[in-house]
Amino acid sequence: MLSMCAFIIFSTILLLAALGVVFSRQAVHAALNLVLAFFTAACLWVMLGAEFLGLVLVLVYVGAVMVLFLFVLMMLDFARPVEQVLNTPDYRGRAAFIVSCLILEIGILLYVKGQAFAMSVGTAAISSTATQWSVQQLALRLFNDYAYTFEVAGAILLFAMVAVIGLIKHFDRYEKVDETTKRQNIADQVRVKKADRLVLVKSS
Amino acid sequence: MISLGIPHYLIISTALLVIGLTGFLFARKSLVVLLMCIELVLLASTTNFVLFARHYADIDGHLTVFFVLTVAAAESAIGLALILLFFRKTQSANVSAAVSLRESA
Repeated sequence: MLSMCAFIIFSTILLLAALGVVFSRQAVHAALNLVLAFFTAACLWVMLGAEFLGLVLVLVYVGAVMVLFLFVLMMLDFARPVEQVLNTPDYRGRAAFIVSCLILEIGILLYVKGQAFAMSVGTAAISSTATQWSVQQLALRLFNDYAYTFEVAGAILLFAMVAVIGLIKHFDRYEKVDETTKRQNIADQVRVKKADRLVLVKSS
Repeated sequence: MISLGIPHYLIISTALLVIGLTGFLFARKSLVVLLMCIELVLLASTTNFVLFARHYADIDGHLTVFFVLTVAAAESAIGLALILLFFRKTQSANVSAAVSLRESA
């Protein structure tokens, strides 16, 4: 009963946030809605017994990927200075709404999980459920049976990093768009002489 | 009162998939929003993995989610880099501006 109520609240918020991603007029609003969608999905995963994956979703997606998205969106907003973008009251109101939703969801999740835990302690049924997985079991499976796949996943992240750096370098070399962008020219840096940088001034 | 089961979660994840696909196909706005819709679709599929890992009491579903998250992070990083380069070339991040990438015959 209690978990059904929590599920209805979470799924409503999740679908509304997903609709907000699609139908937002501004891309920053879409990104903020996607943060809410990821967090709500993490709450649903925790209700399904995947606590570790829920935490990973919050850390990796909300903490890293969505920050990357917002970072790129702020960089694309070249027409306005950064201070003006950050101080837009529209964004602030939306961000405050999202954060209050997150706090509400944490409260609901703590309450539901606490009630379930109290009930299972009362009936000593916590070990009878077969789906109580620990991080230890996940790690044993990951580093024994899936060690090779784990290495491949690491290699994919490395390739992605090399590809992104290569793309930017290639672009900088062949496409001179504007001269205001500061670049590092390693050949010039190596070729520099003492006379270029150092001027001796005789005092008195 | 119906107890919470597999169909409830399946309905939610299917709705999430449909919303993501609709956004990808019909929201002809910014390229960044397109990437976000891909993330929504991936979220729907990973929710199904978590659900069936619980249903079949098999932890492999959780590991699959772990790898999907890794690949999705790499995908969004490369996608955002490409969008940034596209913006620097055309001064626009709209889907309609991507027509300019077509080779002029």
